[in-house]
Amino acid sequence: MEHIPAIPGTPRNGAPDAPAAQAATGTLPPRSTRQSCLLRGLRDLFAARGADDLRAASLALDDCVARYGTPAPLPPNASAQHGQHSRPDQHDPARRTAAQAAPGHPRDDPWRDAEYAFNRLFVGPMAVPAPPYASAWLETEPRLMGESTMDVRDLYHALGYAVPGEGTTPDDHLSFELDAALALLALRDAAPPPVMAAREERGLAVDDAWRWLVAEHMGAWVPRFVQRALAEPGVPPAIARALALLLCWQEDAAAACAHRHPPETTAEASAPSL
Amino acid sequence: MSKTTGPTGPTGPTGPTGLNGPGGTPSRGAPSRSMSRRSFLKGLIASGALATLPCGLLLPRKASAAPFNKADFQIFRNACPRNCYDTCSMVTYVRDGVVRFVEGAPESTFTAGGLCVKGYAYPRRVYSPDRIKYPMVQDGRGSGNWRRVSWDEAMERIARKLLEIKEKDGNLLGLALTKYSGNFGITNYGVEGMMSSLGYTTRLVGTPCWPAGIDAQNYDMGDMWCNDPEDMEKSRYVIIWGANPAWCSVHSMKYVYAARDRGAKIVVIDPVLTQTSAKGDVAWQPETGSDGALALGMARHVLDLGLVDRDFVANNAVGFEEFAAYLRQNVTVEWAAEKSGIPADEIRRVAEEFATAKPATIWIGYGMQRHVNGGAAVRAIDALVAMTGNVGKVGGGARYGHLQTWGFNYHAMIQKAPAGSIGFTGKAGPKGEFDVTAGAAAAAAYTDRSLNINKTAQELLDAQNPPVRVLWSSCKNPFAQDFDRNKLEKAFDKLEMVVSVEQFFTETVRHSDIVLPVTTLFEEWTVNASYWHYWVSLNEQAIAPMHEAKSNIEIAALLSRHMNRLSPGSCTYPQDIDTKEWMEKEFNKGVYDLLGISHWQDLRKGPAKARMPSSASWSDRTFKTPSGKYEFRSDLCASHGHKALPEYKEGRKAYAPYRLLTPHSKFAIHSQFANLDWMEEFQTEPFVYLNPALARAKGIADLDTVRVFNPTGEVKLRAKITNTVPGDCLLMYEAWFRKLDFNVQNLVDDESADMGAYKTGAPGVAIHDQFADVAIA
Repeated sequence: MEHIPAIPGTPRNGAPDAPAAQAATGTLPPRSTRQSCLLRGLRDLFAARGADDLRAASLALDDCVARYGTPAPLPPNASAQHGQHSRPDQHDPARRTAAQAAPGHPRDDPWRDAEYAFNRLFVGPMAVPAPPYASAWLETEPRLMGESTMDVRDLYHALGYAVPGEGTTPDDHLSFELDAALALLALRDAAPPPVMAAREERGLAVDDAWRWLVAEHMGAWVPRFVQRALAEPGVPPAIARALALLLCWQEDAAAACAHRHPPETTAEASAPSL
Repeated sequence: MSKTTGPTGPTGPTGPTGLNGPGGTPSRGAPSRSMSRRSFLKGLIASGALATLPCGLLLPRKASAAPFNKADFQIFRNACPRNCYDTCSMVTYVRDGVVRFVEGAPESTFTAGGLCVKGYAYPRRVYSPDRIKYPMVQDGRGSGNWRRVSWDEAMERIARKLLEIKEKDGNLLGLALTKYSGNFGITNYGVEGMMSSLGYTTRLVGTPCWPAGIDAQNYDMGDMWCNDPEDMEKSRYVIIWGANPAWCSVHSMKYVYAARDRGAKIVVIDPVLTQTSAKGDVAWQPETGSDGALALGMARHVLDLGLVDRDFVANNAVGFEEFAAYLRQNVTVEWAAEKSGIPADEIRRVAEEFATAKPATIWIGYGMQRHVNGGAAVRAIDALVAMTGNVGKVGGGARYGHLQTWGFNYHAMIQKAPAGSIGFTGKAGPKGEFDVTAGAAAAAAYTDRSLNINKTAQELLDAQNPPVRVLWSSCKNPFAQDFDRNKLEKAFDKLEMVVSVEQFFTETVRHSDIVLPVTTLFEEWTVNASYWHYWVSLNEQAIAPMHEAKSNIEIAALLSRHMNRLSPGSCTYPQDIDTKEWMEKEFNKGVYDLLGISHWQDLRKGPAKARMPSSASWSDRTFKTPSGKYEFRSDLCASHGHKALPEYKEGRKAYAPYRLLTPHSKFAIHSQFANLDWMEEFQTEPFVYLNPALARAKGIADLDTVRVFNPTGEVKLRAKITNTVPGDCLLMYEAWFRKLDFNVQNLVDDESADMGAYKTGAPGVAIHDQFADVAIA
């Protein structure tokens, strides 16, 4: 894959590193610039370890939205509650979670409050309402490291990549899946346009992989994940906006897949029963 | 590597988890997922074309589950490290680095290839989305404002605090450890070692579990040492007294059944009609806490019938004649009947049967000694077993527990204080029943400061010079296990820093400043022994620790690194350790000889059983008492402020209208397991169980929400009406539910049991001498 532009992520057997800490260095062709901008911002936001990461990722998402516009109208529950374009530092402090300010942290640091809320939603230590792992949503009974985790692991392996600390970190954390989507986006851009590539094997495989990841796999859990998180009280606007952008991106990308590739289920559905 | 779905353990029905909850709906088209994945993966890897065939009638062939093939799995040895009689030897099946399912080890005749319902749920624990994944700091205890920090940041914060309090107080007695039975893997005694390696600290010592009975058996026989439970099948008469093995020691039941198949009678004594009672031939429901009177009444009848084993009491015991005189002067069967509520004729009948069946045994449960007179009651039961000649007999015995197979090196535990450490100068006793260092510290100038674990709240409030400033909690959930929860909350308010080492967000974590994620049994090496059966199991690391979890000894090593970086020489704990190497260091020749193995590696083939001279304890009738004989009269016991003879001791006076019992559920061990989804399927919420007569008197209907209250606090929950609970009793099972704030310790105070201080450092606690009232909420 030496001809492929640098794919953000961790090379398999490479030095372990968190995706958030990686700067995406590749220059992507314009066709998918908006998508990759969004994906990078979302990936880094959901991989955030703290207030600084959340702030940086949110600002990056701001830039994406400013440069390319919102991909689609945000879902009502996100925009109604929190305002579509408000930046966290413009919020009414009274709307923040009723968190006590901790010694050593300025009371009016909205990013610190966003960090607390982010941890309550996605990280812990308490049981979180919206675990950001595919298998928590896709297994018959919610768990981590299920079959759906192995699915994305196989995809990463096929791309020549692996999560840092494989076997320790669940492969299907949202941020890794977004990183893989970014990788596939780069691969698609490297390939000839779809019409021309229709008969070319690599193009077909990459498109299939993209469709599986974005439409089939993420489509089966990301909408529910987003809905569940947005249903929690006191979601800070920066996080609500990111969730809405995530859902919009996933729905758009899935719809585009459907347009390009009629779902294979039609074969099954249209088959006359014997 | 097969990708098809093999047997991945039992999967129960999907419960309703809410419209949007994780796992509520399986993914659409899930069965075809792996097929479509493979097709594109092949394309990506080999550039093989994915052909779309023009089939109109043929359907894609569905992939079906491949038959189970052992070769698809890596197989590891594990051991359930929970505080349970059964300490199961486990086999763990791993594929793709993921624990797929667990089984009981077939090599252990005790575990016999099967686990309990909790044990089978272990994969749900390791991979629970609820698991604590990272070290985290709470900004404002109880605020719910948690920040993720690196291990280094967490440990540096703790190390700085420890150095600060050491500087302020001139010693480290402001650091206290609370640890008990959350993980009995031997290397986990490295937590105590971590404390020792920092200097002299404060320890919450003793045990809430079984100390009164331990002392009682030590007074009578010089040790707590039970027969092999597997020889129970040779008993001709089995009395199960205050234990519920049908729930809490399921592997022991096969020996009870085997004994009955061979003609033994099974008598179950419990104030509650338990599953074990239901399986017995005779079920007695005596007044709670009247066990001593009942045993003495039986003893009097045995004496009257002349069924005493004259050889034993004359040659292998001291003080029998004094005991007999006490019985004649102070005890009648009618008195015992009045005290216990068991009819005198029945007492006579069972006593006679017990005394004439050879061998006969009594299983003394831990529940029956959790009373202000519990130690005295155990002594009375021991006496009944001894006078009938059943001590030292295969199939006989006063079975309580043993520590015969625990002779490890305690390498992780035994650490030196840094040079120049200042400590406590008062009297030092044992720090719990597993304290192998007890007595060794006599020569040291300083010791640790001991506080009574069973009065944790009060002791933390009262400790002075210095006060307890930092509390380290590991293998323990104080808010679930320590008594008088409201008082404990006040005690925690006084603490400057609380560090909890946990796997789940318990009430204790909620009251912590820092939480550190700890490994499960599958993620570390250790070795496990039982206090009931005689098997020893290796616990292999089967998977890499999930998330950022570390084992207790790795945490200690990291703390040492930060202590020494900030203040060289401030901690003697090795700074780099490997859990496998440290597991190896626990073995010695004594353990090898006992188990009949030449190397710990032999345990990879399966658990090993101790090679005892006999399945019976005390088979040579040489006792470890001062006299070397069984002591019906124990001067040692008298010197500790008790009666020399196993005399009757009155129970606790009621302080509210109904007795409150908080025993163990089948679906939890203390606060562990009840939070797992598979257990929630069976045990969705707590209930208070009460008798129809009591319910009628209080106007309570089945499933009404009620308040149970007493001077200690209050619990609100739904009521279930049942005849299995006596009329003057309120029963609720102790457990921690992840979604509820139910806690029995709102109602249980810290009243001491009579015994326990001698062998465990602090008296036990009268968990079942509690009282409460109930009303419609």
